[in-house]
Amino acid sequence: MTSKILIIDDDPVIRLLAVEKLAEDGFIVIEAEDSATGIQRVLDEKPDLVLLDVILPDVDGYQICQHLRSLPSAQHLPIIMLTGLDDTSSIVQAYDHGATDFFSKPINWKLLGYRIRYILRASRTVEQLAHSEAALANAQRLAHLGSWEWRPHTNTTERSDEYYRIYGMHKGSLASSMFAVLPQVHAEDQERVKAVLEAAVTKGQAYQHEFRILSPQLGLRVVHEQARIFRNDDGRVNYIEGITQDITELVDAQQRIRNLAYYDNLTGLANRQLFRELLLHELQRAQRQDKQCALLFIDLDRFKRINDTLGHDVGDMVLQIVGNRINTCIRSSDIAALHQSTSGKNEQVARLGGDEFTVVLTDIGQPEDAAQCAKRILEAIALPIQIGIQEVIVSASIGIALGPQDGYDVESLLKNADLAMYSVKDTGRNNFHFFDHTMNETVLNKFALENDLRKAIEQNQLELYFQPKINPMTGVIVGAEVLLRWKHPHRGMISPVVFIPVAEESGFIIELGVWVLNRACEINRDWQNRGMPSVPLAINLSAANFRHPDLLPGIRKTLADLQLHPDFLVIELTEGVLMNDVEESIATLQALKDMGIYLSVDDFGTGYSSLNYLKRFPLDELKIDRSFVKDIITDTNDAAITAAIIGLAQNLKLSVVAEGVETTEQADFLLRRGCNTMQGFLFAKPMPQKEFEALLLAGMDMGDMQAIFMVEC
Amino acid sequence: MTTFNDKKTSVLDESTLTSLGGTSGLASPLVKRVITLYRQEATKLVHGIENACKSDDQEILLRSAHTLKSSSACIGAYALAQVAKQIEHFARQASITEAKALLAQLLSEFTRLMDELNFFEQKLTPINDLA
Repeated sequence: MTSKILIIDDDPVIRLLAVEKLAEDGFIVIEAEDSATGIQRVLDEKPDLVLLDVILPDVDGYQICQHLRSLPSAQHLPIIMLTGLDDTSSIVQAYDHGATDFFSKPINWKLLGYRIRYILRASRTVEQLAHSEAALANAQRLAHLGSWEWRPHTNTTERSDEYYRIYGMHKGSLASSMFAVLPQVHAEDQERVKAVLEAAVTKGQAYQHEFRILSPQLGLRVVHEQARIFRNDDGRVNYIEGITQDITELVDAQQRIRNLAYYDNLTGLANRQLFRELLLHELQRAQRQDKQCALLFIDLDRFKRINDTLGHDVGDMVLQIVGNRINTCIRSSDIAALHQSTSGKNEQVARLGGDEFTVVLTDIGQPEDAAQCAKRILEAIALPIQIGIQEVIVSASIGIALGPQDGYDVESLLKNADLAMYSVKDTGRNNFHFFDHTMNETVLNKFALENDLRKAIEQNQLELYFQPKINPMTGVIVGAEVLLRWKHPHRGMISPVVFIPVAEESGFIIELGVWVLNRACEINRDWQNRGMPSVPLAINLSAANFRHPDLLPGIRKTLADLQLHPDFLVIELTEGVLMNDVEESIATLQALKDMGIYLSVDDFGTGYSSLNYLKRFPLDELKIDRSFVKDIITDTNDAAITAAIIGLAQNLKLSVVAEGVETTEQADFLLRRGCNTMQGFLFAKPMPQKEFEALLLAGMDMGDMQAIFMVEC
Repeated sequence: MTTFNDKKTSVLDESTLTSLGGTSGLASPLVKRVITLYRQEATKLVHGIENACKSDDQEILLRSAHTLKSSSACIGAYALAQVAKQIEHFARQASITEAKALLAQLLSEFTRLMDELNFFEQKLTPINDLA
């Protein structure tokens, strides 16, 4: 583009030369011989540059220069004033009046051409810079992007206008240090922001992070901040340049998008997408932490019929209600509390579409937990649904797959849960099945057992057995441990090893424990009423019973009702039960002790008792576990441990009882070490009440055992 | 060889005119056009100075002398430019008397210059004719 130069000079010789000489350099030159013409030509012709003589016939050049500068269109117009070579005062005046540059007469035209070109280029650069600065400021304002430059050695910060706007502050209200914004930062983010700024200064660490700020006008905002470090030649931090962007709207939009993208419109539950992400996450977590999760695949039975007969509106309402019920079932469980999102939505429950729902259960202890949950869901769904005057009854089929054992990835776990669900459909619906068939049997078996166990008390299938505690030296029965036996009507005798865990898992253990305790006390009362010889009866208390708030009042009431002396009740607790919550254990033990009940630690030596705590527990007796007694004769370690336990008990002034004594050698060893009370097949097996009563009446027949001990001790 | 001072005081410095012709030197038609225009303007300005001196018009005197100075310097008429500059200087100081004292010198330098220009132009004509 050819540049247009205007020369304002009253000397026609100069003008002629300007026109001719500058044309040689590729410029178009227009002329004006006085100021009025000159100003008019500036406005009409919009020259790229003006050459202005200092002395003109009407007004002098300085005034024209000043006047031109006042015109918006000529504000940035390059003006070169032509001055005399020796006239320094006119040069100063030229600049004072806004001239861009001066050029001295007589004019070296070649040089002037170069000067003009240079000034035009500089002017264009300045113009572009101004333009891009304006564009940048505008863009930053639109993008809510503030920029800053921080010089740590003076702790001063240059901030852009938008930066102040983001913080809702102005230059006067914000100190120059970069740390000055910290009070505006959300309390929970302050530490992090401070640490990052410090690391930038001290370690020269660039950073990029997001944090929340509180703007006086706009409230809580989320900002993204990014900083680059510029170093001196010696490697030290020179200055830090950064941008701070208000991304609140972006974050909000992401949240809205997430809601649209991740939640089902009809039920408000998680949709397929969110379900997959959650399941993937849980599967990975389960594998990493060696835990188990379960996927419940729920499909309503014959749902199509509801839509077909009652219409889609009713169908949709049924789906909403069912979704809600499933959600409530899950939310009531403890695990769910951890996974509640802030919106109150339970992301564990999802609607995959149609009448298909899924539930993801995390950290399940055993497959039965999943089965329990499925049962609850089935029961909840089965409740009649009232829609207007219509009462709708639906049922569902639930397939259960366990991760990671039934599938390491989302696809296979989902497929297997789906398969399990179809096997429910095939076998009559309204039920749940595990993908793994053996699991079905195990779980069904346990559920059946649990059901039967609940009936066992009413139907008198439970019976107490008694194993005597003997003093081998005298043959005196000093007490008995009460054991529980279950005579199942179809399965025959069921071992406590089988049914106690079932009772513990289902919570029925509490009822069972109370029943055993009461029954033992009743029997003891009965013996005393009948004038029988009576001994203390030891009952094993489960952790659930020991921690139950009704424990103390219950025992107090039982003893009072039966007018039974507390000496006749011994409570045996395992180390595990006591160590669970030491302080609470001490308090409960002390309360029992204060009641006059005799306290014994069962299976001593097998748990993780701390001797320090042992000292603090108000105990009366230690029972040496059968596993040590079994090998005391052959295994020197077991012999040493047993001897140590006996020594310990004696030192702590506790009685000591050896369990599982089967041979005279074992009994002899124990006697020699000072253990005088024993339990085991050598003397008597656990026996029914009648047999034990007979034994109490007749006394122990020690045969020649006693003689052996007498001789050897 | 022409020294700087010689150049400054010469009636007409040919090298200045030659340089105005650019690459064509004296053959450039611009040289002739500039001389013609200068002759007209300088004549007017010298008369203007004479009249201003008579009427004691400091303003006209100053401006005419200034323009004559720069126009003359432009074409290499340094001697005349020098006298015009002195007159301009006195005019600016409002010393019309001192300016008037230079009038005779101005007229004589002007006459010398016009002669030189005529002579110079004659040198140019044949070249132009040939061109």
